[in-house]
Amino acid sequence: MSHPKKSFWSIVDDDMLEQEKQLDSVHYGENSEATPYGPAETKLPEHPTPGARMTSAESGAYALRHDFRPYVQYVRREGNELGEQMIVNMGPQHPSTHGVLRVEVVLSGEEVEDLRCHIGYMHRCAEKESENSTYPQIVPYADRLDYVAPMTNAYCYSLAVERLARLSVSPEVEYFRIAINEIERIASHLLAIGTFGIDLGAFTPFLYAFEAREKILKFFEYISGGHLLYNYIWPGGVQRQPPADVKSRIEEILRDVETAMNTEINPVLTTNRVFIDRTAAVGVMTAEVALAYAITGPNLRGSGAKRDLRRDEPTPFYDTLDFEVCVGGGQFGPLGSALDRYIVRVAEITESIKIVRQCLSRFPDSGLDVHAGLPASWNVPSAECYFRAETARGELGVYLVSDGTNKPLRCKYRSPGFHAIQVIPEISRGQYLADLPVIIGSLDFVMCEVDR
Amino acid sequence: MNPDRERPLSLTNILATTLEGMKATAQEALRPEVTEFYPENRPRLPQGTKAQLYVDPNDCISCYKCAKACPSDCIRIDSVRAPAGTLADTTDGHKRTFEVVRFDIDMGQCCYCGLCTGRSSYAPEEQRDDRGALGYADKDAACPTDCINFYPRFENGTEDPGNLMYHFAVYGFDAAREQWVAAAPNTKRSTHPEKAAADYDDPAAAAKAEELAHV
Repeated sequence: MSHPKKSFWSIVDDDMLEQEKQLDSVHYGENSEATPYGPAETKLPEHPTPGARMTSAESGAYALRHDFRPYVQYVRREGNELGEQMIVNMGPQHPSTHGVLRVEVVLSGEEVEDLRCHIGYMHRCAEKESENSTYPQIVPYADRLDYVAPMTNAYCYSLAVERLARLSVSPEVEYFRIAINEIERIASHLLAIGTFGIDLGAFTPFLYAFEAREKILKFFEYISGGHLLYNYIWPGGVQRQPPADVKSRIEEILRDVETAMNTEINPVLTTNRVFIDRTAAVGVMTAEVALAYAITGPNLRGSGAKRDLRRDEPTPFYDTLDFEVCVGGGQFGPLGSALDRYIVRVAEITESIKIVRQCLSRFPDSGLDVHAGLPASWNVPSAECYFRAETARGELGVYLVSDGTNKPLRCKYRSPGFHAIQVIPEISRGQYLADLPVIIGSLDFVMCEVDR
Repeated sequence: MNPDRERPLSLTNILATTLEGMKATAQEALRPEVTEFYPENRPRLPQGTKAQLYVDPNDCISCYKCAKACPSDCIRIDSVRAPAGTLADTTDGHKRTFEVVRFDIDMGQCCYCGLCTGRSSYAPEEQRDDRGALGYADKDAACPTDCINFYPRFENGTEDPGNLMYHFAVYGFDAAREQWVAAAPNTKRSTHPEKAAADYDDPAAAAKAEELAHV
């Protein structure tokens, strides 16, 4: 496997910059006094720290300037034996990028020589918006971080606020919230499994996975009122009282998910020889690389590192539950491949079902006082807190600073997907272009959470 | 390039996995359908579904709590003080002193979080347990009079986004004043002297108001 160590971006040498300048002088006049946008003196003042913005250090171009020309277009170079080099844009509308991720791929023939991920197409100032909202009002925004698994985000955010405001929640409500959290993890992994199959051209398992996921969403709609975005788990409890038949419904869901996994998805996809051979050597990420890039969650565990915040830094009452941390085994190829990450998700569904079954006996059938932990006033004493918990995609960190009012002074999220997309260039160099959707699908990030 | 991937598939494995897939197909063929055909079969949503917001303006006391609770600022309320005795109490016994002349909700901006709603949305009737959820939902619901709630209507699609602005006030300001005149003709109605003068039946009071208007 040939790994070109030289980055594509170093191809932009001084000669090319000189050519660019000459082109500029042709377009804008000899001394660059006039730009298409007006005379040169109307230029914006220079930003004090331009490095903090989207800059290309080599070319010295500032992306926010009017005269910025975004791409060094179509660099032709002598390629290797597979063909000549070219640049291909995948996304931001490409379906296999799972959202609005633009991947700029430098190809040598069919082989990926280098690539760069461009984010920011879905940036909507969620953190800044949170700083202008009260603590209960932030929960809908926290839901929208990762719209595939909103309950896990809301769970992490709520626990952070409870730490900050020193709220106490009764064990029964905590167990109920853990059950909801784990059911949402199952729903998220079902979607990851299904779309991973679609990336490989296997359409049928996607329908099986979505049928099971739809049952979970219907259950959430029954208890919370929302089909996809819930605003259900609150700091201090949950929004609504669970209905009387919640336990029987959860049991029914768990049975359905088990049936879907055992009779439909596992025989058709997980043990499929074609599927295994397609994914077993693709996107190999060693544990060292994963840890160096701060990858967390199933992506890290797929590389063989046994780290899970539910076990290492348990949120309340997770330590009383019996479950195993699933890691990739590398049975079919090198450890840390796309298949290992997939298998970890499949195994985690079983573990989550186990956790939910244990929780079911630990909260009462009725009379759960879900609003007992709510404070009388949301004026949180001045403090700061960083809280992290394991969501379906890895470690979600919530950093909150309060200044004594009912709105946080600073709110910052550390999302697992943001770190996951940074490792794509590292693990996809030297692979084929057709493997890139597999790698992207196996990392299972949500762009909504990356851009925030 | 990659030895693992150039390994030939063994015939046994191909046969085994194909048969496995065929078995699953056979099982699926005998299963009932799960697909719902939408316009013909419309789902009946559960009672507490976060869908269309509905306001009963006759129960609203203009406390603005829902507008303050809304994360996306989609509720606009205007109200005026009505003359004493012209407004009926709310259904749960709150006294009303303000007439709502504007209660607009932009459903295009609504994020369906349910933070503005009354206690009925927190514990829908068919889901209440024997303890009665109302006791503590009452203290945490934003709306004290239970006048703003969800109801499970979900087909709100429209060609014009302006149609997503829903107006719930029964009367505008002028129409509200006419109502008060009809309900209690001899009470002082407006703090604005010019407008108040027209409302007085008593000529002396009208003259006094007229006088005040020219001060």
